Amino acid sequence: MTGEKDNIRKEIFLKLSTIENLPVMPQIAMDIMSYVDDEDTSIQKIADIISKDPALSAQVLKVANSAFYSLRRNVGSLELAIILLGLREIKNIIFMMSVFRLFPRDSEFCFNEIDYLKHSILTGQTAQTLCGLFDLKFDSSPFLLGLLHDIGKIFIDQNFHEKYTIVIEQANKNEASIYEIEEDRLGTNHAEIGAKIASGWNFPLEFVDCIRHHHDAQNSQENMLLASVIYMANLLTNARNIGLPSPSRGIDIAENPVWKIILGSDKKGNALDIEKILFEIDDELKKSEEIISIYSKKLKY
Amino acid sequence: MWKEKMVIENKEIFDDQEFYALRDYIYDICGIYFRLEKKYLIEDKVINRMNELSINNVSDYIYYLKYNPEKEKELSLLYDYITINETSFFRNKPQMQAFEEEVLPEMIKNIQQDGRKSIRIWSAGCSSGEEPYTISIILKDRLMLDGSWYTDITATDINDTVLGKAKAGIYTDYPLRNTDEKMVQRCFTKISDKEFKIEDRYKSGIRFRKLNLLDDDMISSLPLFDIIFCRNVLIYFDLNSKIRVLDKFYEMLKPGGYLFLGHSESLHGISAAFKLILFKGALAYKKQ
Repeated sequence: MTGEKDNIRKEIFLKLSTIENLPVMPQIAMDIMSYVDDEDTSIQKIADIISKDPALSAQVLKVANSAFYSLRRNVGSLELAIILLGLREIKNIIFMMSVFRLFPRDSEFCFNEIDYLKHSILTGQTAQTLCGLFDLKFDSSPFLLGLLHDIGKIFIDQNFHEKYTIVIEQANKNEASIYEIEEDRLGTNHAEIGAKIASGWNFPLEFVDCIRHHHDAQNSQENMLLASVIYMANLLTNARNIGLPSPSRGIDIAENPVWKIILGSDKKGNALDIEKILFEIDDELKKSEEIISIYSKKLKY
Repeated sequence: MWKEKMVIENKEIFDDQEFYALRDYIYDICGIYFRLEKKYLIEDKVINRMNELSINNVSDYIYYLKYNPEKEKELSLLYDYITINETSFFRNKPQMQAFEEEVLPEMIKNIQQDGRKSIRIWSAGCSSGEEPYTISIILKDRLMLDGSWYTDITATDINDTVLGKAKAGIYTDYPLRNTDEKMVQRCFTKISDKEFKIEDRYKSGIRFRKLNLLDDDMISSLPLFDIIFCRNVLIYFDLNSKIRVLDKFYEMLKPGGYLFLGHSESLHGISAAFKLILFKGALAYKKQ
């Protein structure tokens, strides 16, 4: 059995080593990533980058005009959208649209892609919320990290569909987590694979490391705090039952070692209203559904 | 310009900023989170109410809720809107799932290790009985405890009228809307076109009692519980009373016992004694 696992692992990593096999991150997301909340970046420059991709430009405007932002006025140009929503939100929209494109329309997934997308968006939102609450700043966008933390799952599914179908079927029984089942059956897991993909995209080391450790943040050497934020955002989103199947295990949050890492960064953490963070996730879920429906009416949820 | 200001128009919708202001105020005073999902359900009601009071913006309405002599009455009214439709069988599915699939099995294991075979649950603020009967159905049908187990559900409410309804155990199809049809057939007898009566076997083991949650002596006369449900009841108490009730709940729970509140209800700032436990789609509070 161990031998078989080793073989599967080798096969997966062989596939990962060829760039053609990696999911394609739209160039525009790569371009926009480098403009990290740089206040000197002109609105015009960002608008120019976005307008190179007409389909994306249209989607950005649709989102800006949706109930998600409730701007109460018609947003007719990218420039106006950037002014009204701010650079960070515009970037978040582009990141979301880019992640949606990682799902080829004609392919079958063994998991529910809508649940996957909701989970990714909400993990991103929650990571951003946590950073705001604790006043944490990082070079990598916590929102994009949340969006992409499970990217490894897409790769496994698209390249090892049959094997992954068995993993997901087992996870549906709610006895073990997808991560644990992957380890057991594939000899690797989506975090390790996701990190390889991000690395293949030439994403910064911080980003790669946080994807690698979103299930074991305490093992991250250099980026433990940001990895902890992603770990917690993932955990809190799952605790609202948003995502692919996962076993329900009563989590004593105050005793969670990763939560303690985040709290350790800030004294006011003990007075933090965790319940409210969770309730807000429920509200964000409603909004994410609107965004997903803009991306594709065809997708069902 | 000044002419426009003279016209007091009836308000029709909340914009998001107004909604968030009202939501945050409600959360701060009563710990219940008025979810966006509910905005659409109660928007009309709150706006009608504001129009009745000739108030046309939310900040004035919040001012009214804070300072008007009638504020208590107004808050109760608002709470009724927010918790509307919350009473039904198997209400809040993820919570009932956490109760049935996580909490009960853990508890039963612990109880058995203690060499006991009894489990006690308190439905505090049981209203017309949907909650204690749901618990009873879960204990009897799903858990398959053998006959040697003793199960006790204490169901209390301050209101005689709803307690009367609870004891009668007769319901229309509306509170049964979340219950699957097979279960309705198994657990209820259809007694008229639109009325269903709970089967007697689910009544046994439930003790209905009139009780005021601030009556400490009366509460102390109850046995200790393994689990307490108190959903959407605390919102009607002021902060000091809430703290008192929560202290009492803590005292009345056995170590390792759980407290379940309403779906969007929080103990934040009311009790730090309980440990917050996250289940899938549900929160619970645990006594150490």
